[in-house]
Amino acid sequence: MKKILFIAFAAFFGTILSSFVNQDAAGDRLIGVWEPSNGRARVKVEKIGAKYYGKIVWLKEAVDPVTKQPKTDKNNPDPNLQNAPLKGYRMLKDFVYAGKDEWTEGTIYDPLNGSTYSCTIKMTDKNSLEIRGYIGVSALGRTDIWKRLEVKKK
Amino acid sequence: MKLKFLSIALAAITLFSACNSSDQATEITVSDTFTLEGPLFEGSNPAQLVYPVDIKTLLGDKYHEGVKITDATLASATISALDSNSLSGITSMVLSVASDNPELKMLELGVINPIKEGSTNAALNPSVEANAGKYFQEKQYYIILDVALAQDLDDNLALKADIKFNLKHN
Repeated sequence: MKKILFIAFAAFFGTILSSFVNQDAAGDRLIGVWEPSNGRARVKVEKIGAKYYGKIVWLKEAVDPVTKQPKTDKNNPDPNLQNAPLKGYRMLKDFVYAGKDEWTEGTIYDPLNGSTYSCTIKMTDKNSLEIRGYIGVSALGRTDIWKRLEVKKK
Repeated sequence: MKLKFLSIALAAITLFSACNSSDQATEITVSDTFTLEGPLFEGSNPAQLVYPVDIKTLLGDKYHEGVKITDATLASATISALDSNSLSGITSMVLSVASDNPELKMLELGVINPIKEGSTNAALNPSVEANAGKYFQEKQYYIILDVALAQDLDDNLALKADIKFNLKHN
């Protein structure tokens, strides 16, 4: 009897554990380098703890035409952070994998105006993302399609 | 009617001041080493620490049952090189905090850009808006240092950080 109970418990916890592992692996599909539809930047998604973050790793126009220096986050509402380099800046923050190919709870930052919007990410296929930024309710927003950038391995 | 409004406003201000007057301030220092494992690439490279929050130890004799940290602002953050005598090759650094709690959003606490060639340490410019108070109500959080390199680096990079927070608590 004890043996049967033990096996039942082991099977139960094994199922729970494997669903967590699978959930993690499914969420990690977001990791990689992505390019917005305007092609002006490339964003590398990484994981910190249990959440996903995307930083700008490449800019088409990396130099500020006025200062002739690498672009900085000059529109940041916090004046003390305005000289943070734009290349390396995390524009996607705090995404949690919600299942069904969706990452939620995150924000997207628009360096052109210094505004932060609520954001959801939907993976439509393994190389395409629908990035929806919005204020308040998701219906009031804008969607952009990002494509995965194939990184050539050495 | 006007008098009634004024009385209520005065009472509210008095109550607010009373609450504020019971707040205490404590400065804490987080001293630790960030290690970036090579090979590192030109551009921004992240290093992170898991910071367990132990309010009892942090507040020392100011600790009491039910104490709650409401505000935590960066007072200063100084980063120095461990492996070599200078921060040469590092162009900028950004210090942030993040948490697994979906309700807590990543905060940038400070930045330095550019870093003067030949500097042995770098003092980050603290954010004037970021308040990490809620992070100190968690069991743990992550401190992230993004280090931008001018060129690829094959070796590991170890950086010592002295991070001072001003805490406000009841």
